[in-house]
Amino acid sequence: MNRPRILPFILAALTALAGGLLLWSRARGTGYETDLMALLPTDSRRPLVSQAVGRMAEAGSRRVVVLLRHRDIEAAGRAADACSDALKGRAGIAHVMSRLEADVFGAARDFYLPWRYRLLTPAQRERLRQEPDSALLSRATQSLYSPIGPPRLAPLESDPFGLFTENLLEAASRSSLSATGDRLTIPEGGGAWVVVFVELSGHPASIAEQQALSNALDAAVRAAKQAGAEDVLRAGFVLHSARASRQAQREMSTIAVGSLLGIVLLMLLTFGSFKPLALVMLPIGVGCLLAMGLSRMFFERLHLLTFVFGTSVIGVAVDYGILYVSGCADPTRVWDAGARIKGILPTLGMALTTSLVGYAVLAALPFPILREMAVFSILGLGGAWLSVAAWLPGLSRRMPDVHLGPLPGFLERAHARWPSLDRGWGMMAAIAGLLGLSFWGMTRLRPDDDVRRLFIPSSELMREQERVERLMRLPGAGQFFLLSAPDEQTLLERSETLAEGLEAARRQGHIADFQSVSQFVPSLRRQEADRALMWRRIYRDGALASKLFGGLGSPEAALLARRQAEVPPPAPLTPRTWLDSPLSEPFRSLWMGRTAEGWSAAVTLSGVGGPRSVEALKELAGRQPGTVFVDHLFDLSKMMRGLRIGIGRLLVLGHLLVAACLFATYRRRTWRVVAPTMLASLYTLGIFGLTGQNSNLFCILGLALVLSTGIDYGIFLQDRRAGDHRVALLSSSLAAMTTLLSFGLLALSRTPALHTFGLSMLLGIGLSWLLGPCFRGNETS
Amino acid sequence: MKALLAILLVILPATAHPGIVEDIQKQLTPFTVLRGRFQQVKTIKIIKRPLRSSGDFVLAKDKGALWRTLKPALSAIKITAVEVAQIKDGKVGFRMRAEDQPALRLISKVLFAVFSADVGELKRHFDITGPPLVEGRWKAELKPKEALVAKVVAQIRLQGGKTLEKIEISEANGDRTVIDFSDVKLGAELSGAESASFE
Repeated sequence: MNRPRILPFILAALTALAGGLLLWSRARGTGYETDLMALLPTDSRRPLVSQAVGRMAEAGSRRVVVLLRHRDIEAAGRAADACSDALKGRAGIAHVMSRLEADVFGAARDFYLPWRYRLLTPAQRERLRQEPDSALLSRATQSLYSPIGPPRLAPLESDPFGLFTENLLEAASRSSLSATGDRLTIPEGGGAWVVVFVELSGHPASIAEQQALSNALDAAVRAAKQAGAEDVLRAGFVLHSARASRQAQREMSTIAVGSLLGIVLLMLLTFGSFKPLALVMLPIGVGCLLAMGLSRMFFERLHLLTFVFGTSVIGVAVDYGILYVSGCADPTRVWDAGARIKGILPTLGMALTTSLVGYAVLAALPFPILREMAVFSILGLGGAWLSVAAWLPGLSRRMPDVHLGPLPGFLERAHARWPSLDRGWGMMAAIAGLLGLSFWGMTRLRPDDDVRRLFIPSSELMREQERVERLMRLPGAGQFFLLSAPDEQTLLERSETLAEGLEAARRQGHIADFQSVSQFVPSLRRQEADRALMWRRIYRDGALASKLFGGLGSPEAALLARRQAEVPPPAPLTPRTWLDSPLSEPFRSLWMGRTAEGWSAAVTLSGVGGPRSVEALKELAGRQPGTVFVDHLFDLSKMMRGLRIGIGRLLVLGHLLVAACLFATYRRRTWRVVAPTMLASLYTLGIFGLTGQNSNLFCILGLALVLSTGIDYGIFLQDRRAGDHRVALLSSSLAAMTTLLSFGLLALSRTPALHTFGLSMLLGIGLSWLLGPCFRGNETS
Repeated sequence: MKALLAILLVILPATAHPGIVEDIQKQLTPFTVLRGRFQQVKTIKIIKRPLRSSGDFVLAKDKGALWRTLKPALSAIKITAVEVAQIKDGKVGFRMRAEDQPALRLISKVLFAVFSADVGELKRHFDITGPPLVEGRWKAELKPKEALVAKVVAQIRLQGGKTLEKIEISEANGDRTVIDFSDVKLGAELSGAESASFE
């Protein structure tokens, strides 16, 4: 048997590997993932939807918008400049715009000018089809005579009826933004907001960069307020990410420091000596190192929330060391490291197995963040376990004489007086009564599966974001149309048909606005139809242009106009042309180009109304092929609900399975091992129901871990092979207390998902620990 | 329309030639209601014959302006604090409301300022220069302060005595509009019909 001799070396090699990987990733600068979008589950059944969502999120994540308000628009403008000055040149900021510096309008005119004979708005098309010559003529003549009127964005002979100008002006006025002087403003109530656009250089690579960016934005807001802004609103993904990482870091250190302090205190109170403390600390260290290092083999970047959750695993990882070290408190035996490890190995093995199974369930879910958390925890627990099995015996051949502290005695006395089922009907009645109350509580469970509320706590920042989105009519990331077609032009035609339906939906108030590539690039078929219409009504010999210029006494201008209209543009106006122009920059994410389903594009919506509006939009999608209405957040929430129900059922099955496995060892005592955990889970659900806590997927996942971890205490207690029952009591109590401490601290998390997770584990594990002794039985082994 | 007018209103007051502005202000007669006739000649590059039109106007200090073209065809433009609208054959040709476009209050202020030669208001948006007054007669040249406005309007010339007599607008594209005012009379209040059209 040379296996035990190899084991320490295997662990040493793993530790070295993990350390190496950690250093390597540090050197490469692959920091933490902080993007909140990365937390959402992926929809593997619809890759195109995920792709579209990803594109839109990517486009949005590089922008920050600041809105400033003052009764006097000039004062608001000065505040906008102050805000912009405070941001310019700061690291991570590519561009700040507080006033229209480039001639956006001129650029749009220059871009579309070659195709002016093939672009019409729906209203113009209607007018050219319906109105008589006289009406069209008098309209044109009047605007020529008028002292104030629309500027002409093309020479008169190129656009005698001002259609091109009108088209461009209409496109500009559809925006929620308007130009007041060289300021971009949004009217609201009696006043207006001045807009400052901030473009980031990219995703901030590190938390430090993210914080620097967030601080710079805070400073800019302060500068704007000092410059007189009465109200300031901010929106941008990076703000939420920065806030989330700040919070995650705070929570991580709270959990880590809290757990470690708790462990130190508990160990000193118990053993009154430093060696046992050092011995339980070692597995924690090894576990952390292995988790952080080896997880790099599976994930390039770990999400910060993984660390928050992972930190709480300290409380579980310490259990193995505690179980081992508790042996030195056994008054009936002389300390023998080899015998101790041999004695507890089966118990240790079972405890690890149940925990690993619990975390493996998490890893199997289609939630990238859960997979990370599970792998991280499995590596951490595995590392801690291995170091107990491989290293601790070698390091503790000799143990100092322990003078037990006050805790073991206290535990023993408490345990002796602990109510037990076997002592009478009272306890039985209490348990049954609480069970009844829990069942009643469970009928009041109101699970909320909305994914939006999982990771982002509602806050002032979130309210600001929502207000900005409403004011600017920014497209909602979750609800959009996904169009696909075999070729580009069919895609544009489908997009045009959809746009007609959406126009109607807008008039009916179902949506505030929509954005589609076909608004910028009509299909070639439509361009050709519009060209033919304009030629027939305006440019053809004897048509409107001849009449207009004839009436003005310059018939030769009509000839010039006709000649110009005859010349075909140098190239067709296609999506490619538009995409190559800087004009398309804010809208490029709409066009997905070639995809698995041919050619695809997204049509984004803003201000989508309630369920009735969603129904109307779904109905629109049903009218033509290749058109899908995606309600991503709704779908994700539905998936969360499905997972919650599915895992809930699996959990029931899991309890039975665990019971079946334990039956092999415990036979008639099996129920005594299993009952505390089962009751604890039921009570937890009852408490969730009674107190109105959100019993979403994360509550159920917490219970899955309660099953895998809470059962350990039952195992520790019932396992009589490991030695004196006082040692079993001590080790299981210490283990439970450390675990409770960690998850209790996790329950304080302000990230809703982690809070729910922590709370359900705190309650579940706490209750199984408290209930455990009630089921211990009278018989002696 | 929207863009031009929006562009017309660029902000940031700066001190222009203080002398000329104050001289003009001293010279102009203050009014509550101003009525008169106008003759407009618009020269567009490609059209050989200048476009001539004429009509009458009413300016009311706190209501707005009504610009009525009688020849060659009847049409009217109304500029008030809440909207700018073009009316033809009793129908509205185009209309901008202040509620859709908050800049409108400013727009109408500037248009009103041009038609009433309110140089005090105009100097916020234009650099104003001009020769010294000769026998109470003045000339002023307005250059837009902002590059964006300059893209549309190259310059505006105003000329007058006790009232504004001539406006000359040179557009950046080479078009030119000259408006001559005649029979300008000060009034005390609006007639009933005039009041009604401002509603």
